[in-house]
Amino acid sequence: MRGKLVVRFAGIASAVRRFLARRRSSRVRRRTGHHVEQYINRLISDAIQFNEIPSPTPREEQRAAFITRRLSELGVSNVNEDKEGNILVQLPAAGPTQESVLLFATVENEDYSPLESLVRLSSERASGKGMTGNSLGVAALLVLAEYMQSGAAAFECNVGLLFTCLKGAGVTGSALERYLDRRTDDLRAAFYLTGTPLGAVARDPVGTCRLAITVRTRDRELFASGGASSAVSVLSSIAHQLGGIRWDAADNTFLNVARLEAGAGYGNFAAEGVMELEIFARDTGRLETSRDAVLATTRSIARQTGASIHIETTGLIPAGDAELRRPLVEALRGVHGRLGIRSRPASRPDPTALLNARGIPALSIALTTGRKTFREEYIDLPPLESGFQQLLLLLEAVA
Amino acid sequence: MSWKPAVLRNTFHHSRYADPRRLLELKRRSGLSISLAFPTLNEGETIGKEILVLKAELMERFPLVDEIAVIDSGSTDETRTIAGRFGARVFSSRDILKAYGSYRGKGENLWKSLFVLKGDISNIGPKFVYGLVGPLLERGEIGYVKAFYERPLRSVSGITPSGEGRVTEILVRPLFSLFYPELSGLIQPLSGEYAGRRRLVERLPFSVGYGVEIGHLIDIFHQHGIDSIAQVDLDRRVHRNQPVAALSRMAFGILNTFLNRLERYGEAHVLRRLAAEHIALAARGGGFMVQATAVPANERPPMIDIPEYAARFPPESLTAYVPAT
Repeated sequence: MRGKLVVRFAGIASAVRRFLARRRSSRVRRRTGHHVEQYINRLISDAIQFNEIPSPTPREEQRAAFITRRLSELGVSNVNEDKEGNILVQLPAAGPTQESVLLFATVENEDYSPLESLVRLSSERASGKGMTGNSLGVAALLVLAEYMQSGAAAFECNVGLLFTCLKGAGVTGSALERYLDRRTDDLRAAFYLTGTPLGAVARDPVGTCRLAITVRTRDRELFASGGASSAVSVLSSIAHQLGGIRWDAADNTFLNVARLEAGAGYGNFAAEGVMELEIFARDTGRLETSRDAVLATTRSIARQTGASIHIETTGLIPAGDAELRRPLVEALRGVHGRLGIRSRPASRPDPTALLNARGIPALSIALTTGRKTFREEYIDLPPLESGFQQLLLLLEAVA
Repeated sequence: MSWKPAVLRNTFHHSRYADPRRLLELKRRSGLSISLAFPTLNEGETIGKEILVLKAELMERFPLVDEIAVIDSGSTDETRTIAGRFGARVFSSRDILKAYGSYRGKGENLWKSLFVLKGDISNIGPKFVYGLVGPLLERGEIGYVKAFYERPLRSVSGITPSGEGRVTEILVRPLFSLFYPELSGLIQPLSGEYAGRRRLVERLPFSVGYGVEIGHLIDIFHQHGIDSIAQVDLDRRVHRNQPVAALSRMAFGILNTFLNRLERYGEAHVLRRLAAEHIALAARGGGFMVQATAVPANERPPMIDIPEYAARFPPESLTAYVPAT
């Protein structure tokens, strides 16, 4: 009986929340003139289906196939694929123009797990590894194409939708950078679409450098005396000593141990391991200096322990250009004000800084609220309508 | 051996039906309507996603499906709330055909779904739906389509590959080989995903428990012939791993239905009365404890024999059906 009552009350609370969300969204619709409510289930549906496709894979072929199949079903014909795996859709402006606005999302998911990326849906949340990230961005691009294809919206600029990859950004050259190298159009602005957090405005994003440190020590029997330190000990020692580095300006640099993995499992000596680090810095010069300090410290520890070590820089995204971003930041804040979305400053790294570095005004926007922790990851469903409206209003403002 | 089961000729891959516009055109020409039924009991964890994706994909984007219904057996979690939230029509099994009482079981829900649904055909996951519906839309002689797929198991260590269903390979395949070699061409005869025409399914009795699938196959084979059955490769579906004890009870229910059909069609005669309880032994404190579980063998009559149904679906509109999970 108690269980039933709890379920009943939970059901009532959920119904009340949905009623309030509906009232809010009908107010929003009156303000914006965009009737997107019927597209929101499609947005969630595409995000779920996309999130469950395995990744990373070579050229992300399965994910790319989902995108191209959907575009074909929608009757979108102007689709171009390149050998790096980029898929570009050009949606023409209402009138003749050379200018365009680029919206892009990344297709890879480094956190994909065959089990945990399977999505579960409650009345108000979609839970699954990857949902706060790019799945929603990709789905938003597809649904935007569908919305524009239906004739519901047209803009003064051409709108380009780019499905791309960031792997190797700033180092070996990501698919996004290859696209930027070759493009010939006149880009007025660019936006990167991602899942969460809705309302975050990256006015002045920090730069980031990713390092992967692989350690190998001599293998040994568990109880052998006088043998080598384990990879866990070496990596822990590196993490500990890096944590103790005094940066020249503590507020401007931050080191994050993103992942530490070692050993072959229970009953085995951990002779191999990998640690992934991120360095964040407020400007690109400081980022490079900090990286050099980290590399020197790591090599020194490795020498002391006799471990073999390999360090790879896996990604480098520069700090954003606040001046170049300013008009877009103001436009986004204005849109947030119209839609009742709470704007708040964010300084986390932003892939749009790669475009800023080429003189292109660019900004990230997120579509809903949610949460990502070690154990759970979910997005909230009710804010999605405002999140998608935000995209349309922003395009109206800049395109 | 050169002989091949005829059903292998009616074996397709779902990709054959992946073009939604072609299916829409086939549907328009056939004049069929399509309903999806989800028999549920505490499926709150998964039902929302299935309904949302199917509705967005196959009702809103491409209107192949006319309705989605959940027939619930009395869930105590949020199954009904979530299903309703994402746009399914939600029915309580108990409230359908009240005068005929209620049993627990998937077969019971599928039987009752015939009464509340309006359409012809059904099942889950976009490719599950178009894959199963495709042969029915494409070929008028096919009346019943069954799914088969790779069955990796979901366990604490992740997704692991598995062979075919254990009950299928150890129980059903030997029985089919002995009594119905024609049906041995079905790759996964116990798969719970299938679609059928109303005019065919309404004439089938429904076992309310585990035997519903095998009972259907034997009845369809006798009533309509092997050519009315097709099967579709749906690639992959992740299952929860069931313990052997649960599979043993399932096998008991299936065998019970199988023997019942042999009797009904005069193909064998069971000389003694069959017991109603499945007996298992559990080791306890150096000895064994008997665990007896009643596995109901109740059966619902063909829906067409129910007067309320005949009044609701007059003969000229009889062309449909639906089941699921």
